[in-house]
Amino acid sequence: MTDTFSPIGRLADHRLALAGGILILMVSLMAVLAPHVAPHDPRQTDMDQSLTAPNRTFPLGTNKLGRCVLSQMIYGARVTLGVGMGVVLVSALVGMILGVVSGYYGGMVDEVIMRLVDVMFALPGILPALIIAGLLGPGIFNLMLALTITAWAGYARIVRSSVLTIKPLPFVESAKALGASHLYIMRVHIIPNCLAPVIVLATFGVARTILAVSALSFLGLGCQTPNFDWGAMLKESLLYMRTAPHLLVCPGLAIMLLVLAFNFLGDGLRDLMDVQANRKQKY
Amino acid sequence: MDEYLLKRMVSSVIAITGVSLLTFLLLFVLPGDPAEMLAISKYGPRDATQAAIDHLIRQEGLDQPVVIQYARWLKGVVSGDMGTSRISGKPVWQEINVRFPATLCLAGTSLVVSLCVGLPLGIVAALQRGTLWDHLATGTSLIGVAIPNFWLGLILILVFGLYLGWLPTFGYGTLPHLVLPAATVGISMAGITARLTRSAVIDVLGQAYIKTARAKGLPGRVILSRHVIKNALIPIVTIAGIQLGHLLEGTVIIEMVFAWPGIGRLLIEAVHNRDVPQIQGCVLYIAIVFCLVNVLIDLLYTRLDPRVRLTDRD
Amino acid sequence: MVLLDIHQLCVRLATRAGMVEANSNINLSIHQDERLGLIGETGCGKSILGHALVGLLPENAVATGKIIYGGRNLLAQPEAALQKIRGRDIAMIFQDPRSSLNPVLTVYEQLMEIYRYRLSVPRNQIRAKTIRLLERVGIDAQRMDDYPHQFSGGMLQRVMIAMAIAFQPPLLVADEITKGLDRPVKWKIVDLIRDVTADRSMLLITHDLTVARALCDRIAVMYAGEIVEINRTESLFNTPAHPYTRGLISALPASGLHPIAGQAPGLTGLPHGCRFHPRCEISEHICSRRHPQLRPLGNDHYLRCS
Repeated sequence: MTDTFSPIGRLADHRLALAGGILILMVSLMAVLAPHVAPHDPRQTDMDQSLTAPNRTFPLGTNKLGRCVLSQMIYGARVTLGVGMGVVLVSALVGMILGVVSGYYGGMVDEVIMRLVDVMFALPGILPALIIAGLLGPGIFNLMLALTITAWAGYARIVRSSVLTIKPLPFVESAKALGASHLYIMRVHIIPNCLAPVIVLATFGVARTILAVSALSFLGLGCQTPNFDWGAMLKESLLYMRTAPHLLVCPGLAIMLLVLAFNFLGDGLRDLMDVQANRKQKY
Repeated sequence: MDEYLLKRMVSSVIAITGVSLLTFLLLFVLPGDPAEMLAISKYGPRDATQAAIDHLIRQEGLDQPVVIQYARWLKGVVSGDMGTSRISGKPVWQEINVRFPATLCLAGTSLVVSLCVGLPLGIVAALQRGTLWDHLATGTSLIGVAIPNFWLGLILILVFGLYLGWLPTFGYGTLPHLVLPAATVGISMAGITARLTRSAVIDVLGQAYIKTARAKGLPGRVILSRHVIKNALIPIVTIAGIQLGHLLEGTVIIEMVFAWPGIGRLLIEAVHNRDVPQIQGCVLYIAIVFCLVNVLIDLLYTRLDPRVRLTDRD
Repeated sequence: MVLLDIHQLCVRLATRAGMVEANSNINLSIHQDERLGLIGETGCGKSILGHALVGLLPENAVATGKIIYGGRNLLAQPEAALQKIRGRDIAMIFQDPRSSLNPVLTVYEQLMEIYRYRLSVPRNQIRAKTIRLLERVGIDAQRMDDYPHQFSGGMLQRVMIAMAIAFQPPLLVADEITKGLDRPVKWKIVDLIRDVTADRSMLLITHDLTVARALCDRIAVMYAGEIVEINRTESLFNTPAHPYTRGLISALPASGLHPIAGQAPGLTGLPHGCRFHPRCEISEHICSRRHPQLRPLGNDHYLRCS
């Protein structure tokens, strides 16, 4: 990120990536251990405690129905993180396979797959997922489906250009000359060399997906209660924004921090995998 | 140049057609009988008798194969008829047309905000690399990238609209109405712009020809304008191209937050209401606009980088 | 008469592996109307020395010592002063012209900059002067509105040379300007250099001994950040005193391509005592213990050897 040459700059970069990684781990742990970590049952309502500000019993306050915001958020992390990582995992896999096939075989296969990729990119950003999720109806599964369908294309493109640079290299040629099958070459020679950019893209992809999930849930197209997604929590906070701002601030802040963490991690990974550092000055 | 342009246009047309066709297909895969839903929306749930439904099927050609239906729709589009909105009853084209200026206004203003904030931030960060300014600028842009834009909008509404009461929080019509939405989209995009500008400028600063310019003893501002910025514009324009996607996407969501009567809101509401023709129309429209702008960016790129120009005199 | 005097120049670079000394205690003088060659292997620090003269060392470099020009120590000058000196007094030509020229400006635009921003030439004379400049270096003036990527390497090198001599500077620093050029092109550039430096001084930095021999009056040999021998050109080639110099000469194709044993040390792992002793055929016990100084042997001959 800072890419300064001084040792301090480099250490700072590593520290940020490390911090990001640690935060992600902590949130993941928290999500997995939700029943043990959350102070209250997120579904338990208590109308006497409706819309209270953060206090000792409820560290982040309560919502209209008296539900503990912190507990909701801890359980919500499950959905947010789970959907984010799940979508990226599947779409990266699918994208990578299609990208390798497309780049390796070329010809008609390549054309068809690339046209499909173009189609996915014909509408900007979140719109395809928005439309698909909206038409399929609300729900986590539909949300994940919609996001996966739109996400694979990015990976396919990157992997394909990776493959195109690797394919003509001598070690692939010699593998072919030694009679290796296409599948073998793809599996052993090509895919491992494509992994680096995919991993970096995937890390940033989780960040983007988390933002997308939150946005779609906020628009009412994704998770519904009682599956408390952080985005859905924001949607609920709208009515009481003025009187209970903590309902608005907390989930949003959490989203931002988690996304930051993934971005830092992605930056760190990218620097790690970047063999040719950005220092172009030749002396 | 012409060959390249032609190729681009062809693949764009294929992509747009593909998107349009896929959306059409999607509407058929969905739960709910389209004919029934159409009847309900047209006549109301009570009058949507089987007879009415059958009548509609024949009238709209809903019993024909999917591809035929698509072709019918396409034919209509080409001759200027995109069909009628199932909700409002007005022509789809008209609905889009009415709302287009609003989206354009918001998108344009946001772009200006994003560039005015992001470009200087990125340049300063690059020139003052490693210093406090750099860290501040980079930190700000990182936060800008991570912040959910709809959340930023809500916070701005809370602070400036509800607490301070300075600006209106929703609606359209006057300049104050534009401020918060444009600021939201603009600021959240400025983060990415700043980041990418910074690395573009740093990249250029490290190039050998900058050293040559310095060796010529050229004054700093000359080096900056003639050598640094001219070269940094190339990746920045590429960035802008990528940003346009984010711009449109951000605008769509923000239109919902601020009840801004634009195309994005139209589309989302159409999706909510399963208004098939409206969805089709919006998708086609947005795809075409997006594609056109991308081609324009490409053309701009060739004007900026002489190495890419395909009319070679060699 | 001495034009530029380098006195105890040390340039240290901050690298991942710690502080590295790229130039150690360099003492060198360039005289008026003299062509001085600086030869050595890649990585010996000769390029850094050239950059130090015009104050274009990289950000991570720290330079100590003195570079006296026109009565002033260049290392102590502020950037504003250095900016005035660059080009006008000391003009540097860099290696790899393809990346040293701005790809989005035409050749004309990059040359006229000098006339417009540095030499205050009246607007209506700029074009004519640029055309004359191009002709001086052998470039067809009709091509001046072309972009760098449309030229060959040799032509681009001529453009770089043009940029330097536009200033009519008393001192030219040429850093590896024949690197990467085909043989016939290389010798044409050599001819051009000889022509344009007829009335000025030059520091020619190169690893190509034949080019140095063809152009230079005196030659300094550099190894691992130090000067190990300085002598008049013909004397150096006829009677090379330093074992490294001898090795360089015998490694030439014309001499039979005898390579020097071993490899040049990285600047982080320098040997004790004489830096060349691990590869030296006449090294003795004392060479690994005591670091030899550069001593004058008379007749413009200096040697660093025990």
